[in-house]
Amino acid sequence: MTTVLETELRVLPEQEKTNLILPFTLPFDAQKLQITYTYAPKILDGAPACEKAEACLCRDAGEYRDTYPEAADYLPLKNLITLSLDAPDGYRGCAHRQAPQQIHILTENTASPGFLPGKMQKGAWRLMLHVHALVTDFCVCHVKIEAQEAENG
Amino acid sequence: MADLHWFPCELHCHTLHSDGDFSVAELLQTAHERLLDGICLTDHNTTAGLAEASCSRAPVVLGGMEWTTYFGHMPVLDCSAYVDWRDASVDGIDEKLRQIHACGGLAGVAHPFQLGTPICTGGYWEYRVRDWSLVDYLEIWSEGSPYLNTSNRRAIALWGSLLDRGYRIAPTFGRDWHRTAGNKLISACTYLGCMGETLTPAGMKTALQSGKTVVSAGPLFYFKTERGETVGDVIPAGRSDWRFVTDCSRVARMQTENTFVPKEIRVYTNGGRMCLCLPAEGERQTATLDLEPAHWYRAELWGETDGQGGCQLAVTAPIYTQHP
Ligand SMILES: [Zn+2]
Ligand SMILES: [Zn+2]
Repeated sequence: MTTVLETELRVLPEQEKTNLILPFTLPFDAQKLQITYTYAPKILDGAPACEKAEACLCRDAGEYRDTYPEAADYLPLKNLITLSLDAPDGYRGCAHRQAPQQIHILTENTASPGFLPGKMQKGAWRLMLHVHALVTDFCVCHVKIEAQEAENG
Repeated sequence: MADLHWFPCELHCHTLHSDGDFSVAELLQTAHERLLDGICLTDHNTTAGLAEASCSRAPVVLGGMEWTTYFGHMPVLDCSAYVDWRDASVDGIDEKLRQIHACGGLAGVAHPFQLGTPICTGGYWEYRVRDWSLVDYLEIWSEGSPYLNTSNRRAIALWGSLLDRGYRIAPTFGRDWHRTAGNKLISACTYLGCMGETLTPAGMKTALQSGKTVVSAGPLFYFKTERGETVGDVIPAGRSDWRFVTDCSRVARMQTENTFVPKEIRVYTNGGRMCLCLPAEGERQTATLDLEPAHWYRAELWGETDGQGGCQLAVTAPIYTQHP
């Protein structure tokens, strides 16, 4: 396996609701692509989390705030940074789920949940991180992408 | 000509391809057990489950993807090409909706008043839609407790205000089904009105496009005019004889623990004004309405759920009257 991308990003609360684009190049047609992705911390608890949950309740429930449970019932709050993938020929899916440690494997005929199998042409690919929620002071994301060259490539 | 039939469907489902607990096979099996004839597969930001699901016949599956963005969740159904969800902006949603329609897709608004980020990321609808005629359907009831929940009441109010502005938007129920644990009112569904006795994905799509939907906690409830017009149609104003049908047979077959006792049939029109209210008695009832031009009229079934009175049991999409 050849490592085609390895990077660490420190994501800040200001980057909530933005996409972080990580372009990479496949130097050959691949038979297998493996994405290893982790981020930490995952959760925020206690008083700071309560404050954020209450702000969310006041903003979105508005005048109906009293019909909702207490802010503490929504804890812990979670960072959520999901990952999507583009091949040179288009969108290859997304892993929209909470796990802060993920491994995704794609081949021509199979793919991990959320992703679309298909040919893995050499060329310009793109991984994107989607900062759906960033509730801690920062969050560190680590991405590693490895590729295995196709045998008749 | 084939008759219109009403098929119980679940229009909002997730699997392991996003953050659901169901495998595709488990989702299909559970839908089958709940006597659902059709489902929409709407995993967050992916259509990866469709390859496995699309060959299912009981239930049939209409493919889709819930755009799970920072400013709202929008199920997109049967779009022939990928339209990018990742660069949707609060003021740019109309353009995205046009692109979706250009690819033959349908778009709905999911749970518009769910709490947003960070509690349910992007769950609150913040998009500023300029032209609501680009929105095909609106989830007026989400999850399983359609009648006692602030966010559903707000969604129904939003829908009513859009109808008042002249937009024709189909109402839907969406369980936002991720797992069986914690499901309330397991009989709740959207009934889709389709021609013929067999439901197809194309029929589901046509029903949503033509506003042939009934949102229900369980009972099937709809109306027809003497001339055969029904939910979603555009008809002349004036005197109109309606026949209401209340059918609890699916609820009975499901052996759910929930009980539904219909008490009242109501018809609402512009401004949320109730223009008819009659006691619910039996499967078939008739009434005569005097319909004003350029109005909407929707029927609702009210009654008891699990012994508690004053519950909405079903809401039909409106029938619309022609402009003068
Ligand atoms: Zn959603
Ligand atoms: Zn959903």
